Amino acid sequence: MRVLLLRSLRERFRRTVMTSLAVVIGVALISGTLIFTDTISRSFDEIGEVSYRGVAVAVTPAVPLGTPSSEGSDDDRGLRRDAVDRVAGARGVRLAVGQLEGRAIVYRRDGRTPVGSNGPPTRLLSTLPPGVGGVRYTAGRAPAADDEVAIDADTAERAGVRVGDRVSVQGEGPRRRLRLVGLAGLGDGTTFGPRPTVLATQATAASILRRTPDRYWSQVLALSASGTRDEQVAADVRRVVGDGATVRTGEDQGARQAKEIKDRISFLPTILLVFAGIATFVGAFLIFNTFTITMAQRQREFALLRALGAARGQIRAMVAAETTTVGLLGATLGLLAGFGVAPGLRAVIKALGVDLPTTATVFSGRTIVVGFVVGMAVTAAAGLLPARRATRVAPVEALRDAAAPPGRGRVPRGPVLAGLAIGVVGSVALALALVGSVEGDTGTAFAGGGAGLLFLAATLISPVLVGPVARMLGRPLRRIFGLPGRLAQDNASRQPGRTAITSSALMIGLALVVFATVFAAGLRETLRGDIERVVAAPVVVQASGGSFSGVPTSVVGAVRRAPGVTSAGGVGFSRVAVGGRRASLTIFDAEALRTGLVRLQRTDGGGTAGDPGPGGAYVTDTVAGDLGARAGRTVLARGTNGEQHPLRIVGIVKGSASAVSGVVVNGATAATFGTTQPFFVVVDGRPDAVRRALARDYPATEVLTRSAWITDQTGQVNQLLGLVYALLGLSVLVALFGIVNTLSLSIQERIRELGLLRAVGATRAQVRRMVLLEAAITALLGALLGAALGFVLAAAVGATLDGFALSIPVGQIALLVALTGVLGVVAAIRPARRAARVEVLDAIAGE
Amino acid sequence: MVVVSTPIVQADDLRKTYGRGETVVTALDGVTVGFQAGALAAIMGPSGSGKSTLMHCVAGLDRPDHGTVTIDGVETGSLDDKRLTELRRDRIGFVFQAFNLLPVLTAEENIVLPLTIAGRKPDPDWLEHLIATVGLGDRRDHRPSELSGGQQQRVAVARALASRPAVIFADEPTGNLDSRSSEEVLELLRRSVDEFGQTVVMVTHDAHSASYADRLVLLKDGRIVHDGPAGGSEAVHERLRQVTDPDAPNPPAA
Repeated sequence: MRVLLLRSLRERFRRTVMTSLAVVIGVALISGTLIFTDTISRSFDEIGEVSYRGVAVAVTPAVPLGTPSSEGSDDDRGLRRDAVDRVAGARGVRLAVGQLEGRAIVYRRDGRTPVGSNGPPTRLLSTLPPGVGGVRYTAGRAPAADDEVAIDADTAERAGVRVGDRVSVQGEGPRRRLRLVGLAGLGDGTTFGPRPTVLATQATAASILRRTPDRYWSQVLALSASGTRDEQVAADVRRVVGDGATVRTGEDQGARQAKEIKDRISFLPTILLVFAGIATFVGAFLIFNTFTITMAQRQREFALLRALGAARGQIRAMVAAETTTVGLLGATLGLLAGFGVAPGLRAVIKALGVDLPTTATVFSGRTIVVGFVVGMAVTAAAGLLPARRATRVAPVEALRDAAAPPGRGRVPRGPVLAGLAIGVVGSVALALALVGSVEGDTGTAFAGGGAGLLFLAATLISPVLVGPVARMLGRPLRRIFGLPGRLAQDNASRQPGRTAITSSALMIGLALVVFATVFAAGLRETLRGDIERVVAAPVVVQASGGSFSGVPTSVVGAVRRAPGVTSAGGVGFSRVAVGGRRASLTIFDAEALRTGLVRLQRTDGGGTAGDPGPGGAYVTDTVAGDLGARAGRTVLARGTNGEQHPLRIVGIVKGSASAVSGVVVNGATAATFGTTQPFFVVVDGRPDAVRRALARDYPATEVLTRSAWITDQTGQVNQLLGLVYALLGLSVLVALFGIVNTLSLSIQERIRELGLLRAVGATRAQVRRMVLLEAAITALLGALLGAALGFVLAAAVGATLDGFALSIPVGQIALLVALTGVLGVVAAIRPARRAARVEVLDAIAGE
Repeated sequence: MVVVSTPIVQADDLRKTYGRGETVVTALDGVTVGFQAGALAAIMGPSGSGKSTLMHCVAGLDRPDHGTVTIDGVETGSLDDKRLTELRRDRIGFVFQAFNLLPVLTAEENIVLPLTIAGRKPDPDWLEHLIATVGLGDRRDHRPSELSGGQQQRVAVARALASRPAVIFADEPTGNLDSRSSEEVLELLRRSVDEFGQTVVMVTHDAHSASYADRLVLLKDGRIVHDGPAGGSEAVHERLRQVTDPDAPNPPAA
């Protein structure tokens, strides 16, 4: 039997490989993601470790309520300037040094184009004395004088500047031209991790970042006297700095910093794994279908073995071994491919503007285990049913007429009813998750599981739809193509189960694509509505390319001085802790509110909100509900600088996820909480005049009219959508493999029939067309079902989001459906060619 | 000459119908027949006479609606699937019309397949003898696709003989062959009976093939209408003509 197994596999080698390809893509994506994640994770650990080498204690501003999130920037925190003296005075401290860190812009050689504006914002660091931290100069030296800077080697290369050149750097004021005296890196590297980094002396950094004595240091590092334990020194330092600052050992701080960055990008592997999972799920359909068909074709072989006395168990074992081989092969190839995927992912992310650091590739045991488990489990699960069917063949089948193509398959009622039941369960699970009856991880599991069940249900039900849809699509095909169209329709609905599964694989991919499309369209419209309601200013200034790095603080003043500008104000975002909860902090300069450049709709008493005044705040209805806050009450709030101030609530405004959320204060109040940097500036004036005013000192800004700016903002959703398309494209690719596989198997089965067609006068072109049209019908069936399902899912999810504007991008969906049909035809080109090549005599000769 | 021996295969009152209602077809209508060891029996009959069904039921490939089949002393009706499979594996050999070789295995591997399935090693002397007998010495490592139809069928006969079964059932063994190849295969079956004392039951519609048999069983409409010595092909033809001629009166069942 082993001989037979090995021969079978070898004989059907191409098919075996084709089938395992379905697993390869999924496993490659999974293992690639794991390798990539492990690798960057280790890199960040190393960076954290190197950055705090030799540092006994690190003092940072207290962060309200745990880890900072991605809202706002954490660079605007600051310790008071005298903190360094206090730390130096603590017992066991040999030396205390402060370090400044803040957002900055580095320009290319031309002095006008910012470098790396797409990734995390460039930062400016003040230098530390030699021996503290892990900075190493790969060329030149450390900056020592006022007009000197060093840049990390990678960024310098991208900026096209060399040691000795002049380079433009901009912090919170106008850009400054400085002399590049060194190229730096952390440890052995040529970067400081993903963030482009500029180094300058403390004095230069302070002036570029416009630091004030009460918000000065980003961190204070202490070196210990010999013979003291870091923990002991940390305890002593903690005693002298009070609770406005966090004190950790250098080792802790390094690990903490690594963890913060990893947490911040943790969504990335999660997203990648979700898409890898989808591709694997789709792959399972392909495997199921391929096995089902090949098992059907080999029925006579199995029947013969049974007639010759092979027990059911023996056949089952043989089929199981074949399945296992496919799984093993797929998992192994997938793992190997994962090595290629990991750097590929890095390249993709780098292309998106984030250059994540990588050390030597980390290939952990977990990656191998997960890869094999997923590959084997998916194959085994998908192959289970076909294997069971194979063993159920009656020995007498061996004596039936040779190679009769399977007749018209009927749709068994059981699976359809099961599909309906599963559909109900899936809908309930999804509904529970969406209305929030189950929350957190359970909720996510319910939502994901519910959607998965819906797909399964649609797959089980779809065989009954094959006939009607094929007829619907077949009518025009028949009219246009005549006989081939008719036969294509017939062939597609001949084995409804097979066609249904093939198209289901495509359905899943398309459902998700349509879901993303509809959801993104809704998001875009919601965002547009939110922004349009709030921002009334005719002109908006933002960082070039709309990057989230914001604009230098001094831009607001520069805009106000521009001719013809009657009013202007900065708009910023940060976070704050109020009443023990974290909340977003939305900042509008008083002038913007007073002059109506931004309009906040009040929900208590109506009208528009004016300037809340110093120490005053509006809260959104959501926050008001959470805090039980009313106008007139005062709450204590802690800002990103660790300072706590009372906030007097002056009213309640209508919130929206994208424009106004949490607590609304004016710029002056925000400054007391440590936030001064605006994200953009709203202006009443003429765009060209503003543009001229900013051209010299602020080349990294762009001035847009209101409508252009809104389009730009909402357009960022499209970027995200593009990424989702690319990742879902892999699932669609797997599904297309399915079409190729199913069609070539069906053609093999119908060789005689095809020969007969040719014998009675069908031309090769007609046969080819027939196969292509069958593929088109299959693909369109999947596309239509997918589009419907995707739309329903998007509508369901959208309905639960407050103020979500559901819009139907009809044109886009129609385009996607049509595109899927075309892809189906493209996938069928090879099988169609093979069908057309069938020689009449060969086919009739049989066997 | 009357040899009194227990038949190696005995079927009693077999009945089998297909379909239901208006379209019911009676394939077997009370067939009782026994096959003696060491003889070549031919089952003949017009299309739809039930000869294939009879063979399927007798060979344990299909179950009759009614009646019993005993093979080598074992009553098959009471066997579960596993036992029946083992019985087929160890006591029965098959030769089919469409050669039914596994295309991925060589001729020799196909021959020993029943033993492989059973997990037994072939007796090398017996295997050599078999391969020599079927005249495939130089073709043993060829795939079925590299063999002629006659050669393929000879491999199938060798396969049936490999496990030295109690009985070999041959279903239209020459149905797909030219006359020379047919001759070879029939000779081979004849020799297996004469030289190895094999029991062979062959279903055929070809009078010439039947003339190789010791005994002829004729079926019509699910009943045995003749059972006696086969004789030459002329005699078989005559019998057949009588049975298939609608005007001829049914001869009494033997």
